[in-house]
Amino acid sequence: MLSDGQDFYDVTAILAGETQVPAVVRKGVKGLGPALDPSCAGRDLPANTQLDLPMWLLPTMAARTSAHVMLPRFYGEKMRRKLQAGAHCEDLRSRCLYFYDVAEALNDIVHQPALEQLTMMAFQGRYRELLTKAHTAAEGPALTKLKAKLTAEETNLFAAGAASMSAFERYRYSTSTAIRGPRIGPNAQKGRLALTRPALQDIANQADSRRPGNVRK
Amino acid sequence: MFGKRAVELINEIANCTPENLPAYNDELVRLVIEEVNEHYNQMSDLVRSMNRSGQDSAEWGMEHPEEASALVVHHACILRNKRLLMTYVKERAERIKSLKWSSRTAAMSIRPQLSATEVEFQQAYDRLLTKYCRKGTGVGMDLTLDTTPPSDPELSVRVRKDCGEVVLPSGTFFLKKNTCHIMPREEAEGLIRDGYVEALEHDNCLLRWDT
Repeated sequence: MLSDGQDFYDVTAILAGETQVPAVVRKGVKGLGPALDPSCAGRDLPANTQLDLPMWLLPTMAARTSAHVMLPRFYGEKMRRKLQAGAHCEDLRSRCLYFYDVAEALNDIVHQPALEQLTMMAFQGRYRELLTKAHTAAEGPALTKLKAKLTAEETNLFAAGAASMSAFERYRYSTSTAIRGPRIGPNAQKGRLALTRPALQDIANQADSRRPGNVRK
Repeated sequence: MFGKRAVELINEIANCTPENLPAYNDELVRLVIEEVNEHYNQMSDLVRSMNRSGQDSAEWGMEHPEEASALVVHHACILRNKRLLMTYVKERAERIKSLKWSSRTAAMSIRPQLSATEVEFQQAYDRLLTKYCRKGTGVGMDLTLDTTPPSDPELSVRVRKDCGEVVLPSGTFFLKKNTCHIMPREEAEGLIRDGYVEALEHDNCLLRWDT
């Protein structure tokens, strides 16, 4: 099942869908015990079994009340306290590579305001440092350490920030791409200068100030 | 768990750099299709048992919740595998197209990595693009040469030396000293480099003799 605005062919969304989420299967499932739960002894999965299901299977099962979805540990109270203490220090990548995408998809199922608040707090706490480092940090051990903590969404944001800064620098320090005439040879443009209006104005002001009898107050 | 093989296909694409394309994994695609067929067979068995009971689907679902849950899971797995296979094919087609634009040599070097259908697609795309770039049937310029288009295809120039009448592909110009002309950039470039004309700078920039 696709959530609103999700692209059918989005590779990131597909990979995020593989995240394992704890759930309780309310109704048993015939013939799929070992396939859904490797620890299941029988052929059928009994009712009220708690197991980890992939994210992509949950919307269908939750819509038919076949499963009760629970929040994974990385959206729990302990994580909330850690994020309050210092969101930018937390290694979210090792907890869940698609932390925000999974939270968004889960929110459509569980409808818990606490989940929204937690992900918002995590993003707000990490965004400023993320963008500052993307604009200023040079490649090195510190940057590698920072990147190792970022989720997939944050890594994309970081790359976009770094690309915007490099594009700005390219624009800021770029030289003119105008085609120039020859500097040597019979048709050489010796003594030619390309000056902008402000530069010409400066030259005119200097000439005025050097002119005898023209004293500026 | 279901859908694991298809995710391997997507991982192959996701872990590959944009300039490369992994070899088409025929074996894994075949296994995924087999898995889909297996789901379909099991679904058919469940539907047959439902039909045999003579109840409508809602009643049958209430009486046999375990079978109904299995039906839902099988159907979700089929849809999931379908999505992953279609994404695999689409991502590869997009890579083939983008490599044609970014590098001609790369487009040829990936040929051994493609399946027979993809080779057919690549050749058809090449033909279509060539036709579009050709003068008679399309725009008349090779669009794959420059990935960043020039800001303006035409250039304003001022003549520095009398050259008389000059015949260029775009037309005939009478180049008299200090006259200004607008001509195609690629034609003006040679004259500028020879020093016969000079490119006029942007409006806010003036040229003057340095005294």
